[in-house]
Amino acid sequence: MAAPPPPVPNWAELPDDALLTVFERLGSADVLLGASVVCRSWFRIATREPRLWRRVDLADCCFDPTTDMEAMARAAVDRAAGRLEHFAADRFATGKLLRYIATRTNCLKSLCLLTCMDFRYKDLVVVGKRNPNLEELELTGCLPVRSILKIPMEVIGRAFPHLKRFQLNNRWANIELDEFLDNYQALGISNSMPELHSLQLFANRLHNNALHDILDKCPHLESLDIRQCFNIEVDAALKAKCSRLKDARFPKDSTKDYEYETFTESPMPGSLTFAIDPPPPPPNYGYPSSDEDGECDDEDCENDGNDSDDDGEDVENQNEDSDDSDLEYLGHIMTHIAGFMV
Amino acid sequence: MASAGSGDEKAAAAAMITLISSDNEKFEVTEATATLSQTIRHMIEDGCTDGGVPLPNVTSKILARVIEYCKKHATAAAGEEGSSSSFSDAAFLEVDRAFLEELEEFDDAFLEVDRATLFDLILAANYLDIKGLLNLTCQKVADSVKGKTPEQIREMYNIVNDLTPEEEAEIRRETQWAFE
Repeated sequence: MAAPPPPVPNWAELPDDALLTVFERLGSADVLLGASVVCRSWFRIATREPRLWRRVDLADCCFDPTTDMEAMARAAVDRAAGRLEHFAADRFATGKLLRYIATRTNCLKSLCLLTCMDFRYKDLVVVGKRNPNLEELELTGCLPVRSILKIPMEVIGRAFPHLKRFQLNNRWANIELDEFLDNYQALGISNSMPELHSLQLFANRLHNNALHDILDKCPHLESLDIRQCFNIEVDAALKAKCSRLKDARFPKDSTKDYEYETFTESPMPGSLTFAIDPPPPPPNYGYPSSDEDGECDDEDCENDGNDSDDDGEDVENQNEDSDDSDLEYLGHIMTHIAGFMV
Repeated sequence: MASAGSGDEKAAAAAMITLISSDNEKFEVTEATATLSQTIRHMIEDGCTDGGVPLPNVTSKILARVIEYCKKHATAAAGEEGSSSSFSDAAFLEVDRAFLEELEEFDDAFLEVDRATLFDLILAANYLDIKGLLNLTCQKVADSVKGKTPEQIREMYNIVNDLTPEEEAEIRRETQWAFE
């Protein structure tokens, strides 16, 4: 090391393979914001090597708020030149971006959305139509603000017929409507995702019978994570059904290795099954009908307005026929739940 | 497959290869060490290693470091094959774990070099096609530029911004965020 370095190394002239190896280890955001704009040869590698952009992970990159994350994401999707296989984003991802991805990609294998609020389930359906081989979907803390109701899982399951790994993670809040809808979502999962190998429902408010339905109808399930699902009572029947799983995490298991901050409210003692000993009677799915009519009318009106000003991506029109109003959707929920309860 | 592999390994361990650096220094290494380099492996397969393998792109200083890396990792590869052919009981796993930790420490110490040496190691790893060494050295570069702006990276690595104003304008259009 004492020997004087002969010529000054020219880092701009790193061989292509070496530079690609560096970029692959940097992550999408760092390449986009930093490395690719350093000089001409680095820019060339960053923009002309689609394999560098097969995995675009823009979740959890805290840049200054003026950074246009959506523009960055679009550039990354463009650079992938149709070979995008994995896409992850947090907060900034919108329905518009999902549709942008859908028009440019047909081999997406995995999609991860964290705390994204500005999309509708129909945007996911559009992604599914173009990417039917998607196998991994994560929706963590996603509460689309434009739909008062939650994402109908049955529609999602049909849009991604080969889903093997699904993560639908909430934060716990003891809201009756949520409880009702979580159960509905769980039934949607059991009815439409028969190929699931792995399911994570963190802090979901589903009840035992909905979970049993999933276990019955997803025969390939190997891994189940229902931590913080405090409406689940881990009884002998459930344990027996879970014994075939390779990996099962139960409601009260440690959340230490959970990837995200939990934000979990402690449920009020006495209000929930897990706090009561001996176990209470089975919970009631019933939901007061007056409220739900109110919600629905709002949503229905909002729906009409929004869909007309959505911009015209070329996949847009495929979506029109599935544009059933959320009122119908809620009616469907009610029929379904009623049927299930009998 | 594992047992056939370890048999080859034993045969290879006996054979020695001579590597000749750009400044004409000769290094005797076992075939197992040398074949971590795909480039040399192909030369051996083609039977053109008699009289030594000249490596005109690699100085003796860098070649010595590369050989140091290959020796350590060739032993690791041999160890892995050995353990995979035996029963994987807890004791073996424990040994494996300890060995991997040692290897990691070796890699960390190996990377304690100045930027010029790092650059030469990358060129050598690329030219000799030693995947592990290329990954290791490139990871170090990646770690150093993580979270940095283009300007900071240029400064750190003495890179001249050779983008023409036209190209910059084009990038600016495509990647507006990077210039704000």
